[in-house]
Amino acid sequence: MGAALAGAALCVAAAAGAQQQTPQDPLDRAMRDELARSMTELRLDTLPKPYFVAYRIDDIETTEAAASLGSLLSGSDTRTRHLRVELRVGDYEFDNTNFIGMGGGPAFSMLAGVRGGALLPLDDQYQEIRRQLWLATDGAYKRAVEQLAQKRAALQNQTRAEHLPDFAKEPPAVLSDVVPAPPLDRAAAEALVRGLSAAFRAFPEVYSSGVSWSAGVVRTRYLNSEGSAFTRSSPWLEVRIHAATQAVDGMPLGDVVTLYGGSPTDLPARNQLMDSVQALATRLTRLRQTPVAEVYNGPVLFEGDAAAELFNQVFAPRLVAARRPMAGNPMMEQYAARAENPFLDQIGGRVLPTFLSAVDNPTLTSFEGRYIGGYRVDDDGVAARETRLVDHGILKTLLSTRVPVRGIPHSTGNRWGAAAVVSNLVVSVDSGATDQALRAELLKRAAARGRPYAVIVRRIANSGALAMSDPMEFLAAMGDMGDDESDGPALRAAVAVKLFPDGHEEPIRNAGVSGVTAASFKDIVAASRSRTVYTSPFHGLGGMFAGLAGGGGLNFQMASAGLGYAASYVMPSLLFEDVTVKGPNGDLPKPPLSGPPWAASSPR
Amino acid sequence: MRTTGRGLALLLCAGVAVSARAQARATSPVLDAMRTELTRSLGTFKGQPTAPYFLSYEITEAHTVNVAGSFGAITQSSEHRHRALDVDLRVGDYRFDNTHPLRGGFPGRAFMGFGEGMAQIPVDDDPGAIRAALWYATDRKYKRAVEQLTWVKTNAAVGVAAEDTAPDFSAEQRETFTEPVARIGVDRRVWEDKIRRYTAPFARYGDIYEAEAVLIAEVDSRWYVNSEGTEVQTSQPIYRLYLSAFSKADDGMELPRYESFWAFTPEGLPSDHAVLAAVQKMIDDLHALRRAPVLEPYTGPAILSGRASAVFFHEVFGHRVEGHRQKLGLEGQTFKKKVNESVLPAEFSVYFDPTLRRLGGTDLAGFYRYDDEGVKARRVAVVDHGILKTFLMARSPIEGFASSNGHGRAQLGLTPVARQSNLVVETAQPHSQAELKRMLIDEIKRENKPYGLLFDDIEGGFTITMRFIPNAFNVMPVMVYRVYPDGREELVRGVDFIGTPLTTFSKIVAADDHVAVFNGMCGAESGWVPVSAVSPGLLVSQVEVQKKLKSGERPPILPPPFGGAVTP
Repeated sequence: MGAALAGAALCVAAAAGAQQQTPQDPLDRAMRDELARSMTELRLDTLPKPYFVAYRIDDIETTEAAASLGSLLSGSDTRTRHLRVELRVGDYEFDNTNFIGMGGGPAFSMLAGVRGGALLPLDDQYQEIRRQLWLATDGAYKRAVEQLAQKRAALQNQTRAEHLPDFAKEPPAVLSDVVPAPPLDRAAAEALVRGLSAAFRAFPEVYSSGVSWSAGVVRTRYLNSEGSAFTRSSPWLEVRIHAATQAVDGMPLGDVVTLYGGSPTDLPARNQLMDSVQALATRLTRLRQTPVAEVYNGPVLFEGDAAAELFNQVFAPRLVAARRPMAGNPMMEQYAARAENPFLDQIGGRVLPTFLSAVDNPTLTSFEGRYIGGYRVDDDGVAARETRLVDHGILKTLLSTRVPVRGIPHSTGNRWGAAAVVSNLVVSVDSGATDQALRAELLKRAAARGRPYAVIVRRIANSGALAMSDPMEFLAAMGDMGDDESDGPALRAAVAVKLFPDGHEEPIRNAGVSGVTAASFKDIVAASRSRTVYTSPFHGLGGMFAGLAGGGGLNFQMASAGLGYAASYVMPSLLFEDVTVKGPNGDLPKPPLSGPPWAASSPR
Repeated sequence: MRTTGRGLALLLCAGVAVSARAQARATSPVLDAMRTELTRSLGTFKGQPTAPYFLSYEITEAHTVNVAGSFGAITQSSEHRHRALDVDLRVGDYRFDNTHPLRGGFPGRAFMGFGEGMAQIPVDDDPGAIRAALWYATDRKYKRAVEQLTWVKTNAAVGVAAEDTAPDFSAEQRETFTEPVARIGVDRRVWEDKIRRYTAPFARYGDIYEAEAVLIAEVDSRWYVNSEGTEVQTSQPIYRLYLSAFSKADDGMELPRYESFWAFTPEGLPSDHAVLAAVQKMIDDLHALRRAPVLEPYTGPAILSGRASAVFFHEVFGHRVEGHRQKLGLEGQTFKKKVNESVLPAEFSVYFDPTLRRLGGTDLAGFYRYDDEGVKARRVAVVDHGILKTFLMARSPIEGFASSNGHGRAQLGLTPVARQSNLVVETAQPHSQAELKRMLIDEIKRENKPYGLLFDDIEGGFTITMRFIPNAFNVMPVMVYRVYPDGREELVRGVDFIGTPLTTFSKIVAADDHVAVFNGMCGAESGWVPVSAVSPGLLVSQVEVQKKLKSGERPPILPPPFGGAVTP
């Protein structure tokens, strides 16, 4: 998702797309004038002039509110305007980017703050916007020429294994992707989080809980020296319900339910939200008494949301191309090697079972009436479009930006922030099974393996989302980072059950899922006909290097990351043959010595 | 489900009604909630094998309005309110408890458990929700404290005898005080307009690369409750206006200029006219600095203006008389063994007085009524006629100083340690400014130097008090003049004032009668706290300056796009 657009008009080249880009708009005028001047006049002594300059101005409005037990913890609304400058010297074949040098730019520079980006005035003053453009472009240029020199020097000692252009040529486009953003109503947000969080008062065995709201809109203006320009609005809304407690044996238990939309109308009705709160609190309260997960090896069915989160954490990051940057020193070279995506060498090979196909389509705005975000133009100014990633199991290509990688010379229009991202990933199934048939298949396979029960995972926690909600969870998430048993991340099943042959289910607590890697996806044995719509924070490969080695400087990446990014999935349930599910090891903290104070005093 | 929804609405209404009534009774719902949970917690822990002997809660609220602008345009305008909790829970006894300093080993171990007593507290005065946060944080803190006590007992048993055998915690008098929660007295729209006007004059120039004005209006409210019966509620509005701008010399040297204003009321901030005069002075200074010659490293006599002396004393002296630094094994403890010895010339006295709200027409940032450990603020005479008498004390005693003197301070949510308040340097023998300059010239001639220095304004500084790094200070002057034997003054650029504290102190010769105030934020292990330093100008027989760290980045390649003036 990242951006929501209901019924945005797509205007290619010219047309009335210049809605905000009228010559009267001081921001637009300042961008055009300084860009023109920089392209013709910006040059240091005998060093090369820039061959490419892009300006991006993000006007960000945010409203946030958080509450616990019916009381407001914080509420704020902010507006800031950020400038990012991307400047390249050299040429499309060989320029200053895709290189990690010694940092570039003079140390202890006070202009460093504006290099590659700046905080712009909120007032539409031509001269002041222009001043910041001037200073930021100057900083970016000085850094770029230094990087280019460092890169050339490093190349004298290295033989390049592959010759790839540094920057792909794409046809210039003028696009508009603007939707009327709903007004941000902080009072309504505060009332909602107060009301929803108060429901936890009825659950004394949930020790810590809260509801937070974050909504806003990013209005982007983009202009580059090739003639591309766009305006785009990306509204978002995120409601997060979190709860944490300890099981009777002391083991920490926590869960977060996050709902996404583009505006309040995309959210479920208030009483449905209240149901989600109650369901979460009830589930945690019951889980406290549930025995901890025992070791299980065998077939596991990942139902809709769990399948989507599994895909999001394990498989989707491999669908994104990342260029391995050249490095100026051996240590960085090793780090850079990690940015390389093993799927690059598997294009044309089978990565999913033949009954599954996957496409990425940023231009979708909803699926079967349910909200999914998207965008019509990416951060390179390239028009967004559908990309067939996996066709009946065979990997066709990866999602890319204008930075070419081996075998993918052009952009798929998926740049968001510094790197390529998954936008809306739709997985389709040939002759999928009914949910009932899938359960039967699961039981059959479990029985074949001699298991008294099978395991169904209903929801997998996104550890990033958990960490944001609770400092204790943050520590737990840090612990999740290293999993030596598999090359995939450690996955925590927020909701999982044992399914017995007679059809009855029993909940499992603190279940960890391991043994699922990107390579295991081609061994998926069955998938459902029904599909879920699911959105979750997405972390691609090599985003860090795109930020370091790109033309925009680190600021480009940091400012983009600041807002976070979520991908949407349309996903069937997936049945895996061989998965390990087990509880955690290690010492447990003791449960609290007394009950929560509201248990006694609450008027309920 | 619908029934539940209605039930909740009722519950919320009840909550609001209760707090409204509570306010009408002029009691404090926050203190009430804290006291109730504190009592309940102590009851719970009483049955445990290791029961706490002390428990305190401090809730701090920051309600902040922030307006920032640059070159005549607004860059940010926002308002925030949040509350944070600090829990101090101690097991053991006053003499030896879980906070006992760990010696040897990995210093990071001392930070384990950091954040255990921290929590976000609801901004609504809702007793149930406040108590819920206190409860959860207290439980975590208790478990950690019990674990810590085991560590420190073992650590003390295996180590050599401690250098300082003072108890871990002081017993203090019970205090009760409540003042009403203050409101923020600024209109954001009005201030957005002011900030635009204050920064607009900079916009005419193409050689000023950053020019910012920031208004921070904040109400800092604190609620403190402890198991000794102390209950304190204080609320202090603070209005700060910062101006900053920087230019570059043609050789790449960055030239900053700062101004700041501080007041407890909006009216206490300077008039538009006065701010604009300060802005014009900054512009003139920046342009003069661009033309100024670079000063080479120098040793010789100098005058520190009142403001420069104030920062100098804060950095060089103030941090070294913070009590807990006399106790920790890693600290340099410059003054520990100097009590009742002469540390300054006999005409000088230095005291810290947090009860001083205003001096010579300026509000003092280090004013407060109670510190963050619920101890009443008081004047502390640290140096009396040149003789070191005592240290700034929080509730961590040191040998010979058993009690707090009301200087336990912390930033919102952090654990207090001894910090400075309002530092005042006094002299019994003030000279006029003209006399002090004459004395400087005499000194220049006596030492046969080509010139002396005058440090007129400074941006701040830092100091190192730890043993493992040379104990030194660095004060960053902005406006420095060469003073020639004929009395001529010449602006120079590019130096930092450096030295070691005791040596520099021994070189202080005389003071003038021109007392200046420096208000600022001071950062240390317990976070940022507002402080003030007040001093007359000082004549120092020998100072040392080193070259400033300089950027190699040249000024922008292209001229300003709008035909802005570059230094005449």
